[in-house]
Amino acid sequence: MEAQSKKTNVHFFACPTCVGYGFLVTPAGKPITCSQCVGKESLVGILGGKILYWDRPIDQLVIFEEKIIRTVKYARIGILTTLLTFGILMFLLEFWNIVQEGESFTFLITRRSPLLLIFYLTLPIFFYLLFVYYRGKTVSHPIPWRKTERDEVIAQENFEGATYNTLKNNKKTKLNVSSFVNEEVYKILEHAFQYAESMRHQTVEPLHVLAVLLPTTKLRLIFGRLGIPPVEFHKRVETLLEKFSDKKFQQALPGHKWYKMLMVAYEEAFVGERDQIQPQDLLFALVKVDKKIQDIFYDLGVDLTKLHHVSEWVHAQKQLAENVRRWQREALLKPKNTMNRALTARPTRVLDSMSQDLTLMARTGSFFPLINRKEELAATFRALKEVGGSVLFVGNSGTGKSAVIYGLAERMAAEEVPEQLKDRRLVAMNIGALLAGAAGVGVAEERMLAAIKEITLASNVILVIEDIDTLFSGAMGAAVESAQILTDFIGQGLMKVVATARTEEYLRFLQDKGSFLRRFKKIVVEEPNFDLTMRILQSRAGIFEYRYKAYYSYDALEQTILLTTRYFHERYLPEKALDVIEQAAIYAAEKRGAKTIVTKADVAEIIAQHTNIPVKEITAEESEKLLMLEEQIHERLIDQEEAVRSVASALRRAREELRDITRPIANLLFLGPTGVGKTELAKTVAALYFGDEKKMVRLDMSEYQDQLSIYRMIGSPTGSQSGGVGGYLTEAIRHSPFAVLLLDEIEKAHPDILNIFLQVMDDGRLTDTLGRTIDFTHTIIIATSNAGAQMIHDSVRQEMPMEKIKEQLIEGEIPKYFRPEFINRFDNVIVFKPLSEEDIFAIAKLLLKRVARDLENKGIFFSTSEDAVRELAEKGFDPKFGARPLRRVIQNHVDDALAKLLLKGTLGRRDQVILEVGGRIRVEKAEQLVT
Amino acid sequence: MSLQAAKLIVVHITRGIFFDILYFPIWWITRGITSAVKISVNWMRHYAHRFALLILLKNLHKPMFGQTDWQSRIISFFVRLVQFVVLTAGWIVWCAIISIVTLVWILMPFFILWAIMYQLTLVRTPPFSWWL
Repeated sequence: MEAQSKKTNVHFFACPTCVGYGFLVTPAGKPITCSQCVGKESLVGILGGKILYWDRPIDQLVIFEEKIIRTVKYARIGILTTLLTFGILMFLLEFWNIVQEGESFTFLITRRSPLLLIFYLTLPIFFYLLFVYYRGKTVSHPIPWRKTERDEVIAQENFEGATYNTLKNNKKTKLNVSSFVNEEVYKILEHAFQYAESMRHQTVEPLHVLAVLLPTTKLRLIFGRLGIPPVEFHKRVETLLEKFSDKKFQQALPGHKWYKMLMVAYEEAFVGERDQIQPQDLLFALVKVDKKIQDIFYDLGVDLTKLHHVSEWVHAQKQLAENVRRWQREALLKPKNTMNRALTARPTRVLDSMSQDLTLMARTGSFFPLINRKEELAATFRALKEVGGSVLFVGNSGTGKSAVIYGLAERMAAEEVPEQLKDRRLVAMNIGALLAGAAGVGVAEERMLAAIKEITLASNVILVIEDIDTLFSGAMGAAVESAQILTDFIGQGLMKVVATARTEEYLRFLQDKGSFLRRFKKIVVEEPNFDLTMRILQSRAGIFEYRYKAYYSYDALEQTILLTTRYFHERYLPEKALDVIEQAAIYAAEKRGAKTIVTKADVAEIIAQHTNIPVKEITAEESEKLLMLEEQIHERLIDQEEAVRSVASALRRAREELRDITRPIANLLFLGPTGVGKTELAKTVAALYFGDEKKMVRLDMSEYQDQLSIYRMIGSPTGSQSGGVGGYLTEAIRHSPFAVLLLDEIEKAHPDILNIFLQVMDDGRLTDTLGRTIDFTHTIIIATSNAGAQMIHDSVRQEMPMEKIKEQLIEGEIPKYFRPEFINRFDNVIVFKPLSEEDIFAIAKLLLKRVARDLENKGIFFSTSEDAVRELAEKGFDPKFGARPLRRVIQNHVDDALAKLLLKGTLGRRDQVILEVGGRIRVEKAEQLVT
Repeated sequence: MSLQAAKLIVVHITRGIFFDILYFPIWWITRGITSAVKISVNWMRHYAHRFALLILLKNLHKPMFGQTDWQSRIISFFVRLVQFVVLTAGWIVWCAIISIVTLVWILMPFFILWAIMYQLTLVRTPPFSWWL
């Protein structure tokens, strides 16, 4: 048995003599029929307990024959139609005669005339043509997918130890694949053969079929969605085809891959539950069996899964439209008003004033069709069948709770529901509308009672209450009374209710209401997975495409799901993805005009606008920037080469997605004495990576020295006085998840607090006291510490190399403050060295540049001499405190003096201020323009 | 090639004539009739569904508009009965029309055959003349 291909369940067995080709080639290049298989069934396959073979030879003669058959068929139909028309004409003539003679119409039957004889002789043609048409439409011999379970397809145990010969001679379980090919596919195969022949290729390969398929509308549609440029694709196919040219060419013959392709196409059609093999089955089959074709697709960024999804998309659009039409026909029978068809209901005027009839809305086609969710609907039907049974959908906001309800309304409108739910209405109550119309004490309660009475009397109403938790939470006054009335009635099981609640609210307000909940069957509406979300997006894409005149590529949809999953943690699929694809279509149409394609770059742009982090593909300009990251950092930070290099590498890795996406972007520990640029580097990182140095959550860890301060960080436990409120850290990251998290002076925090960060740095997640999981995977965590500062000082003074200092710190000094597992969580421990006098000079220049920039905003020019700067640097140099004293010196000597000058009004616009040696400030007044 | 082509054409025409012309009448009285009957039954069912006959029958004893007093129950019963009778009558008319169309359809080949024989003076009575 040949090794089974990963992508197909068909097991192939080839004739040992010709290896499945059916012919052998003589040294002179002449093909001769294989002596063992005689060119018939040279390759057989096993699928689902059946032996597949192909028994329809394809060569010039057969194609010619087929052409003649087709011509004869059309000619026959043409001749017969002419005869029929002639006969009808004769009938009309006779009819005219009878009318002229004023005779009875029964003469059409009782009179004997040549005209009527001709008519009666030709009349069977009409019925014969109908018969031909009917036979052409129905598949008399469909693929047996209805008779076989899909899982059985994989069961192969019947053929253990089978060989080619035993299989070929087995007559019982054989299936001739060629009998399942429809006319369209057969024509494609013929064309492929003729194409190979015209190109003088000895073997006809799947590649020839691909070349023939390329110009077809369906494939062009698929390629459009896949974003494959047809010209590029064609070029690659042609290059491959050139390799098949054979100088000794005699005649084209199908090779073994050809037969494989046809059998895999059968499998595709079988699994896809189609009665005959369709062109798209052929497309998949040829991709599956031919590695070279796979490579072409792969080269253009398309794999089999993608191809499958897109083909399904193209197919599903047709299917969806068909379903909607069928459903609309059914829904038209649903009454247009509150009365049911059995006339047992009663009008519900009060209820109608505060509700929406969802079945009525579904009848007019107000909802999108529900995709999948079969299990949820089945569970709903089961629950509603019970006497007094109600349903509660629990799920996160945006996961499709309402969509399931609308789907239910659609099914009810078309009466595609269990007997107990037929002829009923699904009515959504709006508590807001109840209160809005109620002025005065007790009015709302009275209306609620009236509505409930109507519901129980009408007995055809299933009540929908979205966000049922609002009945228990937050409401005050009349609302709470009304809610109480409603919940009492629901609790007694007097009406059927379909309700929804968000998971969080369910846990907070509903979980402990046992007596109320016992009426409900809880159905959890899970966030859809990738496949389902993709199908939902595809089903909605048509609407957006129509509305905004922009067409989605598959990549755009895929990217939307991937990026929203990764970056929008507060919201859920499919809603967040639907929002993004809509915005992307608007954006693309605005940018490039109508009839444009929405690409994944458009989606990335929308995501980037929302999150402010770069998710777009890296442009050449940006690549250059990234490669020069060190220089950019050095514009703000002097020296500290090692620290800058580490940070730049971490950022480059993050931007190129070469990181573990389940952890924070980077976990860095900055060690070093005070004032050497640790915080400055953190700010620079925020500015460079997140676009703004304010994109930083800063925790002064000295404020978290006792154990209880943990609650300030992650929120107080529920039940405590300040319970139910999120913590400082968790809330900050929840609101801006794309930021640098700076943990200043981390050695001062309580060890228990450091334990929290173990998890954050490892899993990128933290659960707050409200049970919400906060995502840290888009943060850069930077912890700074002065631990070992003295040791660094001493070692630098002794001119010890930085590597050695770092080693000593990690082995000797740092373990005094942090546990080894904590140190281990950091991607990089970066040691900042004390600043030298030269560094301070450079920093002084940087700081004075900032002063100059501030003054320039006021229209005043500022300059200094080199000596003046050096003097300031000397004054501000203190190896123990780094650059901080310098900052104070500049503040005292420069900023203060300038402030005084500005207050006195001695400085005007265009004036030049010069800082000179000795801290003197000289002002050069600008030339007066007005005297 | 041209001789071969001519041969093929002849073969296919003869095959076509023999297969189709002989098979067609057999198909008509076997599968043809079955599918015609199936289609007409579906049609009748559809009309029963449209007229809500089953719903009416099931709710014959249920009071209309939720009025459960005995007077209403009696009125309801009779109103529903009348409604049911009227709608059923309508449905039966529909069914009759559908049945006639189906019957005509099924009998058509016999009628044609008879008509041809009559035209050729092979039989003396015109087709279905007793209905005329």
